[in-house]
Amino acid sequence: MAERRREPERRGRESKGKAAEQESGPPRELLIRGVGAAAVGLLLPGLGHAWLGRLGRGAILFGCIAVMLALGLANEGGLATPRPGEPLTYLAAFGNLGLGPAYFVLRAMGAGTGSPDHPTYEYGTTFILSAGLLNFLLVLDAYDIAVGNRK
Amino acid sequence: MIESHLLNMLLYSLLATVVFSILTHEPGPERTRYGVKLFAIMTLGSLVLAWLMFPFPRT
Repeated sequence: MAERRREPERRGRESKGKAAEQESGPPRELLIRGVGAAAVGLLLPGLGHAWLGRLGRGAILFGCIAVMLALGLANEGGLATPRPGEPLTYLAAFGNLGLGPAYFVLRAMGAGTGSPDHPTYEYGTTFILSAGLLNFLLVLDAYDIAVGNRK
Repeated sequence: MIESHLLNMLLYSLLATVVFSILTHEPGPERTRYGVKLFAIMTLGSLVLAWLMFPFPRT
C-alpha cells in the first residue's frame, strides 16, 4: 500500500524534472553546436546542413537558393539599399542580408543594382529578396537540427 | 531574362515549394504529397487571385 502511494509521487517528480530541463533549454554543448551551424549557414546557404552531415539536404537547399538568386539577377532585379525616410527599404535590406557575404560581394561587384525601368525588375527583386529570407529559414532549421529539436 | 509572367510564377513556386518541403517534412511520400499540394496552391491560387483582380481597373 505504501509503495503504491509512492509511485505517483515518483512519477510526479520525474515529470517535473523533465519539464524543468525543457524550460532551461538545450545543454551548453548543443547550444554552441546550434549557434555554429546557424553561423555557418549564414555564410553560404545549405552549408549549415552540410556541416551537420546532411549533405544531400544542404546541396538541394543551396541549389534552390542559388537558382533563385541567379534568376533574380538575370531578371534585372535589385539588391535593396536602406534609404532614410523609407522604412520598408530597411526591411528589404534586412531580408537581403540573409544572403550572407554574397550580398556584400554582389554590391562590391556592382551587380544587383537593378533596372527599375526593366519589365522584369519587380520579379527579379522579389526573387532576390525571397532567396535571402528563405536562407534565414534554412539557418533556423540548421540550428534546430543541431540542438536536437528535429531530425 | 524571363519575360513570361507564367514562367516566372512557376519557377518561383517550384523553388519555394522544394525549400518548404525539405524544411518541414522528413523524406518520404508525405513530403512529396505536401510538395505537390503546396505547388498547386501557389500556382492555382495565384491564377484565381489574378482572375479575381481582373474586373478592377489597372490605373
